[in-house]
Amino acid sequence: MIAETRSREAAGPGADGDADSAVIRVDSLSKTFGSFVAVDGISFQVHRGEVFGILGPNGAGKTTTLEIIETLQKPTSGHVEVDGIDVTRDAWSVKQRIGVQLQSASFYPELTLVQLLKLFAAIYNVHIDPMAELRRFQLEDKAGAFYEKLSGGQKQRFALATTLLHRPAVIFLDEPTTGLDPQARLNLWDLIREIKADGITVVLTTHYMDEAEQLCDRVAIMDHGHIIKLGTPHALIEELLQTGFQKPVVRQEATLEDVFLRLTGRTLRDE
Amino acid sequence: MSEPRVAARAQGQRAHPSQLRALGALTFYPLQAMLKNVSTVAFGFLFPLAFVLVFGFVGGAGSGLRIGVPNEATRGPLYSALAENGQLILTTGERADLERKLTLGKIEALVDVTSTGLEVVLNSANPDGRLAQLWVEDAVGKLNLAATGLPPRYEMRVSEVAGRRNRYIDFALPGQIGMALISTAVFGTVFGLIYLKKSLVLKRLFALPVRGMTILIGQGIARLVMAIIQAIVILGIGVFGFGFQLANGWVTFVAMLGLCGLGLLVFLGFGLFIAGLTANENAAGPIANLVTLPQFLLSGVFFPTDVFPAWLRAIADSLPLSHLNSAMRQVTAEGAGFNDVLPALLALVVWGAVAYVGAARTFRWV
Repeated sequence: MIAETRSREAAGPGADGDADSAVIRVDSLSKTFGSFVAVDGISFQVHRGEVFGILGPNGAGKTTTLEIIETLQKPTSGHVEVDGIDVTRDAWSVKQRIGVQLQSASFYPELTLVQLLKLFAAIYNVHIDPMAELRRFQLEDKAGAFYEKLSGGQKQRFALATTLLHRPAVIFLDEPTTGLDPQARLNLWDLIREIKADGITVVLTTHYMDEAEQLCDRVAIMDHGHIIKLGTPHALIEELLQTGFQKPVVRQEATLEDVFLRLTGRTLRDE
Repeated sequence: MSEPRVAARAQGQRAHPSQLRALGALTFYPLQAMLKNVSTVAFGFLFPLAFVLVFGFVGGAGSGLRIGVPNEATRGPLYSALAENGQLILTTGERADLERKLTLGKIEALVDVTSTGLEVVLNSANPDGRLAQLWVEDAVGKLNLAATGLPPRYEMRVSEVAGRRNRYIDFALPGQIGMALISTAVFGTVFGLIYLKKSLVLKRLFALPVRGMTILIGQGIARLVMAIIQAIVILGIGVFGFGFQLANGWVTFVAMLGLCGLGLLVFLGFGLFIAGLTANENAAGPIANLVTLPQFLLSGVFFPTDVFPAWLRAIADSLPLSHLNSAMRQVTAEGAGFNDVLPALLALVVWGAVAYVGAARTFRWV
C-alpha cells in the first residue's frame, strides 16, 4: 500500500511524454434515448496532462458524453478508452483511475466534511489525512460542517477534493464554476491550474468562454450531438479571424469584472 | 515506457480490491447519518416509547370495585361484611346521588337494605357490575348460612398457582416494537433512497469503485443495527420501567432480537419495493402509508385481532406485521421457542420473498 502510494506520487500520470499520450480515446461514440440522438458518432482524444474543455449550448450532449466516459452511462455504440481501458468492458478499473464531480450532485446530508472524506477514502481503499485534504482546499475550518451548509464556492472546492483522494489520472468537472461569485471562480481556476501542474488531466464543461480561454489547453465545441470544432482556443480564434471575421471593436482597457475585483478584492468571500 | 503508466498498471492489477473496507464505511457512516436524522429517531424511538409509557400507565390503573350504599343502610351485619371485603370500595351518600353516579359509571353497583332484605342496582352498560354483584351474593350467602346455624355442606378450597399477570403492557410492548420496526424499515428506506437518488448522492457513489449491492447491503446492515438498538431500548424501558415480562429472561431477550432482525429484513424488502415503484416523495408517501397504516390498525399493535369479525380477522392475521407480532408475543409471554413460532416465521419469510422479488423487478439505481 505504502509503496504503491509513493510510486503513484513520484510520477504524476501527466509526465508521460511518449507518442501514445492520449489518456482518453473516444471513437465513433453514439448515445440515443429512444428516438432522440444525444451523441451522434463523435471521436476525439484527450492528451495526458492537459485541461480539455467541452463547450456547447444546453442539450448539445456534453453531459451525456462525460457520463459515458465516467462509466455512469453505457454507450449505444462506439468505443471509449480511459487510460487504455475500455469503459464498457472494465468499468471497474476505469472508476479507480478517474475522479468525478457531477453537476449539482450532493452528499449524505447528515455527515460532516471529514466523515464524507473518510467514507470516500474507504471506498477508494486509500489512506488520507482528511484535515490535510481540507486545508489544501481552504476548508479546514469547515471540517465539522455539513455539505448543504457550504457556500457555492466551498461546495465546488469540496467536490473537487473528493475527486482527488486516490490520485486519479483524469478528473471530470461538469460546470464547476456555474453560479459562483468572481472571487470564488478565480480561486477555482487557480486550483484547477494546480491540479494540472500535479500532472492530472482535467476534463471540464463550461458555459463561460472566458473560462475556457483562460483554463483550457484545447476545447471541443459540441452542438446537436456532434463535435463541430476542436482545437486550442488560440487556434480557433485565429481560424475565425482568417475568415475575415471582425468584431465591432470598442477598445476597452478594462472590463466590469476588473472594476468589481478592484473594488471587492480577490480574496475568497464565501465564508 | 515511463513510470506513470507502470504505476497506473500496478493500480489496475488490484482491479477488484476487497469490498470489505468499502462495506464497513458504507455501513458505519450511513448509520451515523441515521442516528442524526430527526425523523428516524422520532419514528424509531420517541413514538414507540411514548406509546409504551401511555400503555404502561393505563395498564397500572387497576383499582377495586366501587359500591354505593345509601346513608340509611350503613349499618347491620351485611354492611359490615361488605366493608370488610378488600375487593370493594364503599361509597356512601344520598340514594338519588348514588343512582346518578351509577348511571355515570362512577360506581359499579348500588346496594340498599329494604324491609325484606337487599336491593342491588346495576348499570347495564358496566360489565364490572356483575363482579360486584357476585361479591354481594357471597356476603349474603355467608350471612344466610350463619343464620341457619348449620355447618356448610360443601367446602370450597381456593388455591393459587404461581403464574403471570397478563397486563396490557405485556400485550402492547411487542406490538410497539413491531410498529417501530416497520416504520423505520419502510419509511426510512423509501425516503432515504429517494433522497439519495434525487440529490444524486447515489449517482456520485456510482462514479466510485463500489458496487450497488455493497451500498444497499451497507444501508441494510445499518438499519439492522438501528432496529436492534431500538428493540433493546424499548424492551429495556418496558422491563425496568413497567415490569414487562420476558418469559425466560435473557434467552427470551435474545430470541426477541432475532425476531426483530428477521422482521426488519422482511420490511426492508417492502421499503425497497416501494422505492422501486415510485421515483418521488409525493407518490412514495401515500404508498408507504398504504402499506404500513392498515398493519398498524389490523396487525394487533394496539388491540388483539380477535375483536374483528371472522372475515376481517382472516385478512388481519395474514399480514406480515401480524405474524411478527404474534411470534414476539408467544416468545415473550409463553416462552415459546423458534420451533413453536415456525409457521409465523415461514409466513414472514414468504412475505419477504414477495417483497424482494418485487424490489428486484422495479428498483432502478439512478
